[in-house]
Amino acid sequence: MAVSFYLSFTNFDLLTTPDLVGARNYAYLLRDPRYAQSLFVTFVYVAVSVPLKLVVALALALLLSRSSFGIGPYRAIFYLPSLLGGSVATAIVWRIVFGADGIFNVALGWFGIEGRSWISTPETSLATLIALAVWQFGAPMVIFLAALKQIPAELYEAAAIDGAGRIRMFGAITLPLLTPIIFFNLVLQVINSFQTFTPSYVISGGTGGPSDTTLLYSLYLYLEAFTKLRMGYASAMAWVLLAIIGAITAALFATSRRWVFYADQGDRS
Amino acid sequence: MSSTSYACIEEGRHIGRRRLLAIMLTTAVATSVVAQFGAAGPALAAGVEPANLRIVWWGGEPRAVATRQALDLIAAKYPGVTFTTEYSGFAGYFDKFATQVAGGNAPDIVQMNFAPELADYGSRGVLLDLGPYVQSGALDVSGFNEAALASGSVDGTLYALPLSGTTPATIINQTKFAQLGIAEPTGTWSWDDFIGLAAEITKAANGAFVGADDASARQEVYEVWYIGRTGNQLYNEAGERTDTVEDLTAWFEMWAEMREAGSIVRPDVQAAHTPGDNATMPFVLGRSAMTFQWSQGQTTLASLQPDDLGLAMQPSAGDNPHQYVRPGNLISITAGTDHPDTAVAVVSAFVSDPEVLKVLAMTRGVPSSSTARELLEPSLSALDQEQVAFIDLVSSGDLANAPNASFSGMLDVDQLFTRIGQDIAFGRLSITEGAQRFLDQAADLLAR
Repeated sequence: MAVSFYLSFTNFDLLTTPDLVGARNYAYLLRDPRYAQSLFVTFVYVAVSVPLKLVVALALALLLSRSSFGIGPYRAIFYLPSLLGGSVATAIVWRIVFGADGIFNVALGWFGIEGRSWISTPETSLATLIALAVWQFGAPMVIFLAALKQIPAELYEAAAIDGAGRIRMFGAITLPLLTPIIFFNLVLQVINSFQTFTPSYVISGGTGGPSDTTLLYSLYLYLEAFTKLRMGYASAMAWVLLAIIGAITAALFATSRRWVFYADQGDRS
Repeated sequence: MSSTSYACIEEGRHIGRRRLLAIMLTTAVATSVVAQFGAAGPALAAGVEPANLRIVWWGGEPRAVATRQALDLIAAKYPGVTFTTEYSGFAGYFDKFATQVAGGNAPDIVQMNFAPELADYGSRGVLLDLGPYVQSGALDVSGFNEAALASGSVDGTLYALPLSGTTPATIINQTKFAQLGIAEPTGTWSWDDFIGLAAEITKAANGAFVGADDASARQEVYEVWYIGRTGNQLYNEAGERTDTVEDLTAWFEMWAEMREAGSIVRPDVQAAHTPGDNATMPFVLGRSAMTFQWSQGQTTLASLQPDDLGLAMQPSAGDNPHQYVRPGNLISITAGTDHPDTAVAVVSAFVSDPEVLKVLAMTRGVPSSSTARELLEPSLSALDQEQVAFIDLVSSGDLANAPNASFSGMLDVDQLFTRIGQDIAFGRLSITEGAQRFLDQAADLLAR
């Protein structure tokens, strides 16, 4: 890490020795249009896919939390995508499914809708990446499942006796008691989401999609480092990413005091 | 000789120390002499130490099969020399190579690209200077003329030998043309002819496929158009762009008209094509009847799809010559190799040994070496004959200079051209705005 920090102040093309240029890499970050684009794309990606993923994960966890017969296999099936999700193979399949001749368009054809190549149309390419991210809801879902099991059943029974409906029970009991887990999942997913690389690389064929619309931050970093051999610049980008993720995580922790309810909060009403 | 300085096994059967030393020395000398004779093959083998060489190249299956056969032949000629081979597609090839070089893990022999990689890697000391080996005769370059050797040199130093020559071409799907009963383009033709032909094909095909791929976002096709239109190279000697907003506007407007007429592939289908990955080309997927590619694309694309492919020159945009011949790929040795002499001997066999040349045939394109051409001429397949005839046809006409400039930022500008081209194709940017933006940002990138 120390070497990477040093390199961020140099021009280093991997083949010859690095030469110090001071803060020039950081200065260029401020006026690089592609960098600005990659920041925009990444922020949109994180801001849309993380909440969506958590909502889907929680919804499914609620559905799967009842201990009815045969629920075990269902839980496993829903968890499966997140095991496979981040892999190159799945990204390749995704690229084919949402391509011009893919199954998705075949399905649309049954309804008489003519589909386009979703992965290579600027308006929809990022949406396919977001869909792939949301599809991997299994991991947060399993964590939510475990947390749901922790909520004492007596609370629900007491609420039922008091005449509370399902929605009231969810809002007054489940959600507040889940907030620590929601917070945990949120932080974890945000950090991971910022570092997404494989789906972006594979689905866009290593280019960042039509007109840089799928140019996630880590993909741009990789392209600058290994195709342009600008290691110094890429190192600067890596450190800025660290700073961004750190700042957002710190902000999340700071605001958590307001909405995360820990059971052992003493006499907070 | 004191009896305490050595082990006595039996009474009366001890070997004196000096005698032991003498016997060891004689045995060592004798074995090495025998070994020399044992390993003798062709006269050059005397200096070739056994080694395992790593060789990498890009290309498809036919090339891989032929190359492995050739390497087997070379290994048989130089016993003790073995090969570890790696091959891949072109996309990502040089990313991988750069990383390997940086990690001290570079292959010994590498297939090299003409522009910009040869100049890039050559000037950075990554490739072995082949000059001394040519002078000593270890590297047989008798089949290469001066121009060929010059094309493999950077600033006068020879870093690579060209394996094939190629030229910009239009690849025609002959099967589709025959299906529609439309005549193929021959000889020189203009962009107006191309536009007309694309429209004709689209109309006749009636929805099954369109006339051509959309090449508006590919700078290498634009470059040939520009050279024909103005007679100038895209970059001057100072590394600045010579084209203007008018040139770019004319180019994009030409393609916009074709797009509106529906005679080229839809932008989203075209954008799914990853540069360097031929399997994703709309032409290869059967969606169009014409595309632009280097002339050896006729062979490389043919192996990816079922139809017959033919060649035509790239349409001309003006009175200036625009076709040029450049090395398709070259072969180099990395400077950090542990076995330079062995590698040189292998490369020498690769480019000059008759049996090896026969096995390699034209899997890399029309050979740059006259030795290879003469050897292969009598036994060429029909497709290969077309390739040779095409290169000869082009070479016999007026040729432009092959663009070989390498300035920092050129790759960035290449990709910028693609992005702007795609934005224009999708209607996210107007043509005049796009042209101006391209030139402004390109100047920025080149000055970085």
